[in-house]
Amino acid sequence: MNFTALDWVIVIVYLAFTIWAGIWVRRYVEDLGGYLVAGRRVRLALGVATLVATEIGTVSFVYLAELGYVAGFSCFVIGLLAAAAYVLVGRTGFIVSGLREQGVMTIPEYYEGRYGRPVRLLGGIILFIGGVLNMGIFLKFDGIFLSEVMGYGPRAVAVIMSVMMVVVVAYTVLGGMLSVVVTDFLQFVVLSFGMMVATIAAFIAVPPRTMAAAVALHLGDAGMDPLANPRFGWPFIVWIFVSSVAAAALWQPGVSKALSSESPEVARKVFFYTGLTFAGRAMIPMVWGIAALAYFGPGMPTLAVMPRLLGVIVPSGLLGLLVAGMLAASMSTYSAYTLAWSSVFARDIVGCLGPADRSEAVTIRTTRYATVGIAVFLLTFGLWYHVPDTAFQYLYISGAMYTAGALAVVAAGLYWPRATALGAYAALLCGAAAPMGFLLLERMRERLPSWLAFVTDVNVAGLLSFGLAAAGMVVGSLATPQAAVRTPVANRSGL
Amino acid sequence: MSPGAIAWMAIFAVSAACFFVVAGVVSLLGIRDVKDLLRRHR
Repeated sequence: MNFTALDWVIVIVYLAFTIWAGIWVRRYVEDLGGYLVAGRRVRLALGVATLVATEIGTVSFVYLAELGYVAGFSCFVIGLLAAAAYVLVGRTGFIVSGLREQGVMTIPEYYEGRYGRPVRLLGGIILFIGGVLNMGIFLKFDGIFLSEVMGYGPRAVAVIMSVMMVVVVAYTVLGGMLSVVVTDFLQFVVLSFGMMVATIAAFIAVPPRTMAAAVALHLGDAGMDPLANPRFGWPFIVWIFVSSVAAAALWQPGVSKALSSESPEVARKVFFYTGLTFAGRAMIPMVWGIAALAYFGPGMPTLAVMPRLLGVIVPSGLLGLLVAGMLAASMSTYSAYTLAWSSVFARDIVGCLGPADRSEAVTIRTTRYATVGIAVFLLTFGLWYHVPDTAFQYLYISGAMYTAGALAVVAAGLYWPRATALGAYAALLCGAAAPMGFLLLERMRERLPSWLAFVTDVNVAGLLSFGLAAAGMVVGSLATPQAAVRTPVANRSGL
Repeated sequence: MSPGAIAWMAIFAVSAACFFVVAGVVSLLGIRDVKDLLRRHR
């Protein structure tokens, strides 16, 4: 058992304070804009804190450390690609400035203004399914991490998953985005400290020279050169860069933070400064994974090896702070994600199917019910689903189900006047087809005819989704008569 | 250490420094932004 009474006290005090802060803030929510986008009053530093906290969860520590353990230094390229994508979006304002200027609260809401309500409904359904599936493994990974670090082993996973979800749902349901932003800030401070503790402990236990020797011994060239590693290569690099740009500009939990910013200029800067942290956000846990490779050697359970290392090398007291930091990372991610997906469900699916004059109170209530429903789904899905390939690739392929189509639909909508609803339908459906095909067909890989085997290569399926979505948008739009092209609308909300 | 490993370690050092510097600055300035956000919602 790694966890002492002192560690427990630190974690319980931290959890109690977070819940209190999250629930206390609910008194400031005055309307739907306050609930979903914090009244669009978030300034730069707070925006960066909340966006970084959203994009760092314990799940990201686990899957990035898993990559470090199985791929060595060569996986650092993922951090560089993600940083380049966010800095690109931040410097150019690509998509995020345009969406913020439109005054929308969710991305499918933009679809309606540009292409019509049926496109919003289809986009909302695909976004909701892709987003919730993507999030489906978060709880399980977090449970694995915490049970290994604390020394309780796999039997504690379900209990830890349930407690975390109940805590997060409590304050997200009550306070919406305002609670999410304020607790994200507290969590950002604590998780940054936890990351520093873990990194220092990793370097004390395993010096850089030992890490380099372990990578050379166990992984050879594949551990140094991403092009020599069979997991990666050029298709992977191109796919991950395009996917990172799409995720930066269009992933609803992150973009909702840009949409909460007080101006399009602040939204752009939030992405730029967040981009500066993104290489470190990936490489820091990757180094923990490399340290685990050097400490334990190969052949360990890839997901559990890094938390097991931290449980061994971080001393009591600091271990409590580390776990508090990891809990902070997870809770900030859950709260932002559940709020993002439940707001899409309430506004873009239920809202499109029901009467147009639905009151704000009904939308907030629907969002709250959806948040609870998503939490129940996550608890059940996370317990039985077996992740294909590495967790990193599962997250990117399930995310591509939505981001591939959305990138074509929103980018064309903002920057190509000839884009039409038919092109949008084609892009959304074609973009979802390849990832969906991968997730279904990967389970019957052995029985597939050889000509269809390429779909079970996660890198090919991911890259294909973006190509198909772009082709669908171009072909569908050009096949539409010029007279049917809609004129883009300006900001309708006034916010 | 091989030249490749040294290069990756240098990239890691710069990336980690960027992360923790931005984290430190944002943690300090963010307190003001949280206060401002709550004041404007009051």
